[in-house]
Amino acid sequence: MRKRVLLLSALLFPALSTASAQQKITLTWWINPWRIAPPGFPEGKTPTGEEFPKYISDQFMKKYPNVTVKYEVVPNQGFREKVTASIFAGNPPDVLRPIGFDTNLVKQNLLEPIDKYLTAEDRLDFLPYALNEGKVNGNYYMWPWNNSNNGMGSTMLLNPKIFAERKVALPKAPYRNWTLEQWLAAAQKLTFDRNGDGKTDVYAITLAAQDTENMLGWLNRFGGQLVNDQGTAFVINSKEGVAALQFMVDLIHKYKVAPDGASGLGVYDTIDNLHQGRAAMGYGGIYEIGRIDRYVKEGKLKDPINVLVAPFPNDPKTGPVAYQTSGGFVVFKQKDPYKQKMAMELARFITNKENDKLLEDLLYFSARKSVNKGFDFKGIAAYTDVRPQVTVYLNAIKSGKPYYGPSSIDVQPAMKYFTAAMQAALSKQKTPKQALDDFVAQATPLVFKK
Amino acid sequence: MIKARITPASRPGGQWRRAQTITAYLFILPNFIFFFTFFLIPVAGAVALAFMEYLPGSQRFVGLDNFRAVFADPLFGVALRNTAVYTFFVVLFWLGKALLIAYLLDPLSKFTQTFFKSAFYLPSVTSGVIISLVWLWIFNPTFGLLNALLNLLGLDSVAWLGNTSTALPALIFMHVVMGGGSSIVLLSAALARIPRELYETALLDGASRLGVFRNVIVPLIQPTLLYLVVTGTINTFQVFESVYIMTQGGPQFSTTTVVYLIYETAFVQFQLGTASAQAMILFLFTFVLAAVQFKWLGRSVEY
Repeated sequence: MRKRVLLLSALLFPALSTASAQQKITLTWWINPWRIAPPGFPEGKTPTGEEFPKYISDQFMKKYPNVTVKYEVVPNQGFREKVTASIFAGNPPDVLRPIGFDTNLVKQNLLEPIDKYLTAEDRLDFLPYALNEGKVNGNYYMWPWNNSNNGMGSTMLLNPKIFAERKVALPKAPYRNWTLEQWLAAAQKLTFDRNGDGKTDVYAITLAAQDTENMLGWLNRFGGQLVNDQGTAFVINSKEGVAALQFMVDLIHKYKVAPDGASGLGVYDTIDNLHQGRAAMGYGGIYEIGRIDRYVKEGKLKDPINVLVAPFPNDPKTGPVAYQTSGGFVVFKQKDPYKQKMAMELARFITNKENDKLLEDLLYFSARKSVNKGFDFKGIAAYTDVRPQVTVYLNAIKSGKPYYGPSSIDVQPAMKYFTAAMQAALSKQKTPKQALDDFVAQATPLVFKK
Repeated sequence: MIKARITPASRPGGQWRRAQTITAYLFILPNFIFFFTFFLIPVAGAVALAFMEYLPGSQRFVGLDNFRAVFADPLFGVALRNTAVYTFFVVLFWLGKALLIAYLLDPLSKFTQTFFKSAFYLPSVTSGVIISLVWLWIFNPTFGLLNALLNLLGLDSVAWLGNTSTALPALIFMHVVMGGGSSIVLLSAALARIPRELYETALLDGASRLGVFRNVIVPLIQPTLLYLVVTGTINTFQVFESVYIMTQGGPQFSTTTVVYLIYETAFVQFQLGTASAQAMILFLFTFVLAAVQFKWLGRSVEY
């Protein structure tokens, strides 16, 4: 009798597994708004952020009819809070594109490693640093998708109209490299009173203490680093870091090429000042050309600005530096093996070569080398020749650095102290050395405690 | 001699009264279920959380460790001080403004009163987010409206939200200007209830207008004032929205309030236990403050 039961079980088991493979499941995935136009999206319209996840979900459900995919577009503001709340409520999404890979999710044993799902071809195709962004204790936890960010902290945007108005020569193509001295000389000419009322109407640049990536961009110009290469200590109070912060303070208070009040400004103030012609230079990569395009279509910006991408000025001793980062998709732990397999399949599907190509629409590069080769960014911004900007941008991000240190450490809890240090220095309430020393003293126990 | 115990149920009509009591309980039951489920249980959960290390995969009782961590964090002291300063000035000026406006509106016709009360109440029904965004522009250091006005007067621009000495006053100013609508409505109602003869008699007796205000009006509207001070303090102690949108607690933590710190601790640092301990301490502070206000301001209140 027992033998019969065993035999029956053995016969039924494969049948049951097949049934399980075909079982109806629902997958949820969350993403912040990525305004990517999917194939067939009407010309002249601006995607809202819904179209891309809807397209991906529909395509995936066509491929796997037994799977229902529910996507959710979570706004940037409050994104982290919503994810945290869902985790603590025990109901996180199955697949998530975090804003910045969070090593805590791995430490809390919440994520599935993706190693066994990565093919040899994938490993060769993904940019090494993009793959390493999600590497913790020797395992990979993130399917890389986008390469670099929107260009904040990596490159600058120049308004050539204001350069021409002030008869300032643009840095030379193709790479537009310039030294700090050349940049400063240009910045002084680009700061001016247009209407003769004795007040500065146009500044060369905006410094914003709450804009962490561009602050770190400036600090890295001079060889300053937030965290050491080993990821064991904050080292931004080095003499290079102090010199860099002193330079930033001088831009506001000595050279007066950046507006005062930097302590209260954030990244959207820098964007707004460039868009409104109140600053001759802003920040960002080619993605920011797409933002101008979008704002014009949405009516937020009256006239398009023809912008050029240029690297941050370089200290010849340190060479060009850019912010090295990437983003991708993580899969939360699953109890059901089939659901785990399909969640991983969904993350793989979003980041496959075919779907990675869609990033081109947003003027983003992909984390796949093979996909980037096919990008030509044609016809996206009618008023700006994008291809030369791509050349500048790619050249800049070749010299990329992870500004926040190795991905295995989480500096997030300390960043409010970093912003406070920038605010203190830029408003001259502390010297650059005092501000950075204080930051290191306050931040170290939060990040490098036992 | 044995006395018979008379209970409501054993009295004539007792059954009817019991049925009435049960009906009354049934009427409040739906509300109580909601109150119990969505208020009491979460509050009890938050209290329990304050004594635990709460991680997604594990929970552990840690006694008073979270409270020790809160008191060891200098930022909590800064946040408490900022919140206290903010509350003191906002409640003071808010109430002062409301009282002045209500007093000025009192002699006007009903139609005019209604118009002004509606106008002053309008910001209360506008989203705090929208108000904060508008004021971000007003306070913009380089291109903001406030600095444009200063420049017209020949004064230098001020980095309102970028300076540690002006950021908190700027937020207070914004809240005083935009708030107080409901207080005006309540104080107007309180003023309208005062018999006119009292004013007239006092004036005939030679009292000055200020004397009438101080000695006749204020004592008679004291219950309303007490209510506004207590509720205003409780609400203002929980300031979050404008800090989150306009300053993120900066510059240099000069606008970090306790609720903003709770939010940061819970959602940025994932320390739910510590955040709950902070919330418990805030609750205790608010409770004690409200009790003191009742005791102090309520001494001469006659209901």
